[in-house]
Amino acid sequence: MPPPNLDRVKISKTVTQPGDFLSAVREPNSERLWLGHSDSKIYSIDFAQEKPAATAVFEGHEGYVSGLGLIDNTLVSAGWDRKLIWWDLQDRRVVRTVEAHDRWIRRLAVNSTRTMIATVSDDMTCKLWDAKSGRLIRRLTGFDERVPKYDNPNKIFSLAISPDGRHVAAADDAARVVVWEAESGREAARFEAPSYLGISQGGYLSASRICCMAFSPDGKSLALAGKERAGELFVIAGPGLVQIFDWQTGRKSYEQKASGQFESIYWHPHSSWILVAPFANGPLCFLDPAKPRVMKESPATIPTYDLAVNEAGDAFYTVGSGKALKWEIPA
Amino acid sequence: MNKQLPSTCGAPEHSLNRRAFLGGVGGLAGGVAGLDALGNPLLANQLEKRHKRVILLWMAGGLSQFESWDPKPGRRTGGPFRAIQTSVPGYRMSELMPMMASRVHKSAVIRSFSSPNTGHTGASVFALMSGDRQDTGTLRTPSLGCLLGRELSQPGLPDHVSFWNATWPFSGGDKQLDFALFLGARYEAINIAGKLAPDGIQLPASLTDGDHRAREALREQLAARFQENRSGNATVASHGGSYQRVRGIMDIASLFDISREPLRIRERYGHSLFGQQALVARRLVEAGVPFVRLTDGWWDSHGENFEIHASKVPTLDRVMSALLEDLEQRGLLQDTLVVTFAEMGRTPQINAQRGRDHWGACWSVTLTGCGIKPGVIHGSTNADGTAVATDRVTAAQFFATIFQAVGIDHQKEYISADGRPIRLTPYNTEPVRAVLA
Repeated sequence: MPPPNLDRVKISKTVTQPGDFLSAVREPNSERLWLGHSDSKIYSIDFAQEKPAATAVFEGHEGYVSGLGLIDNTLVSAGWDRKLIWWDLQDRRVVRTVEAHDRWIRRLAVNSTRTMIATVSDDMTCKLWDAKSGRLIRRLTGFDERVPKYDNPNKIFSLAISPDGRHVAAADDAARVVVWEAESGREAARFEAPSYLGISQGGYLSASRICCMAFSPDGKSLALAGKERAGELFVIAGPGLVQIFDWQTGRKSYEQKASGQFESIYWHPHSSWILVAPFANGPLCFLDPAKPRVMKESPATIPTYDLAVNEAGDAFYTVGSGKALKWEIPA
Repeated sequence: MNKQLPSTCGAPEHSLNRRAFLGGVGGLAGGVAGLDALGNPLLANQLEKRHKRVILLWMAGGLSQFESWDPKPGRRTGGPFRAIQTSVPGYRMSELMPMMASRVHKSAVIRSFSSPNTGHTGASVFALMSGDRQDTGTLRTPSLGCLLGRELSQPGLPDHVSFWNATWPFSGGDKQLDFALFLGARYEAINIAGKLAPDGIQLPASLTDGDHRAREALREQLAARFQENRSGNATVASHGGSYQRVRGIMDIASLFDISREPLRIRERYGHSLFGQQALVARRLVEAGVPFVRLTDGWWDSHGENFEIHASKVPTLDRVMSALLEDLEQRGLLQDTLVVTFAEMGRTPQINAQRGRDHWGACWSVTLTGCGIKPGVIHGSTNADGTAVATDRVTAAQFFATIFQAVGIDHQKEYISADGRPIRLTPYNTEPVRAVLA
């Protein structure tokens, strides 16, 4: 079967819904998406339907639903209400609710064996949870409470678990990256990526930051994506920036700029491409992991907050402001 | 909705202030009027008025009322933050302001402020800064800071100091916000941007203070001769006055040095430039400077409103509560009015970039301290924050309230350069009596 042809990427289905879809997870080997929304609800969309629609299924959060993960037949959601909630997809009921953090939970990630969940929060911690029992395994620290010099409250926007599950990485608003050993909780590495520093020269806050990250399939590299430091005011417009680091040495090996502020990233398991999607003012970009170049870009059409890719790499979904989109990459 | 706590009359601050006031009168009178001044109600009133000060916290770009004083959690316009209970029963504020929430019973919050302005620059913001004058035609009127600096002026001190923690990003600079016009240049602000002190207030190492004073005496002697036949010339007089005011600022240079403050005080204000400038502001008003503006930039959150406010509101919360607490503990709050204000509020609608745009129809301002009834939550907005529900307050009313709070007749008449009588606020404007003590 011929491989997907990036030149033929297109939107095949669109679902509209007022407000913002902030997070998404796809059920394996299906076209069903679960989506966290700014209205505190969790929606479901089956894109296998001829005319898919968003259905509100779960209500229990009291703020943005910022992260989702699937553990077999259980959906785990994280919110700005500081909670983690386990939902039984079959019985459509709450399994457990955990007051997980002291501040807003920004991201949730699940390891490849679906045994561990990681969360990051503006309480400046990363926490590891037993995916089945909901037990807190470890609390990872290493970030300052406030951004040095400027005294603003610090934040963690990005989180990733390595494909082998051995390492967890996160980055803060001061553009510092910390990598921990999941098993021991020991800090394995730390480096800075100052191109993303979220404060402009004049002291204003800016939208510059590391928004998202992904490990390479071999786990040796870490790709960061977001918005480059630029300008004096808090502006959303680009330039977007992707940098790849050897996380053990902190050495930067790759840099690619493009329009927009990249909010989500996916590194293809065979390193065929890296897909980044913008929050604003830019296109979706397929990047060549081997060397800095844009393989293909396509208008994102919506401010995008999250994306999900299918097993074959020939379809993916972007979700964001007012819409959820299915994209196809025909051969 | 008006919510009000019992009066705080009888609090220890009052007796402390009385002592501080008596000491202040003695120092000011310098043996001329002395404590006898208190026997003369008119003079005592004048002396007391001269002791009033105002600090304006200016949220440049436009603070969101939803993420501060008037949250709407759970509504389509509400955004992601929760509301928390405050020290005023029934009144809830954004969770981003826990420190102010615990002491808001000492402030007055107006949630129903409404103005036509929705811009950062131009005629409408110019009008806003002088109280949305609709009654003066093409005649421009001075801004609030210049008027208060003029009314509360004290000899030997700057009348009007303006701090910026970042530069105003528009052409025209501070002239977009402060303008003395016919009051005269001396009431223009001393602008201090991105630092804690004005430039050039220290003598060069090669010049002693004695040498400097001797030179000034010589200059005054020569200037006096020059002025002999020019006694009615305002320009000449203003020129001479400028030298005196520069010397006055040099004499108070130490006020800009916060290293003289105990560490615990500096820590309370935090390490942000805004916080450090607030501490200098407290030192200045303590010395008698009548009007200080603290401009905190940049709140213009057309994109990522919630990230901007998640970063900036906690700093505002910390600095504002530290300033109010510090003023109170020093017995200064009774004579110092602290105001929060901005060009505008932010839209109820959340745009596609998670931003809020410019909004004038209903937003929030606050008043604390001198002349203000504590614990009053005045006015309200509807459930989604899209309109005033009760007790709309205009800029003219707000300004009248400020003037009244510091003992200035808001209907006082000035004469403009072309001879026209101009009142401080438009004819028939009434202050918001519900928030006045």
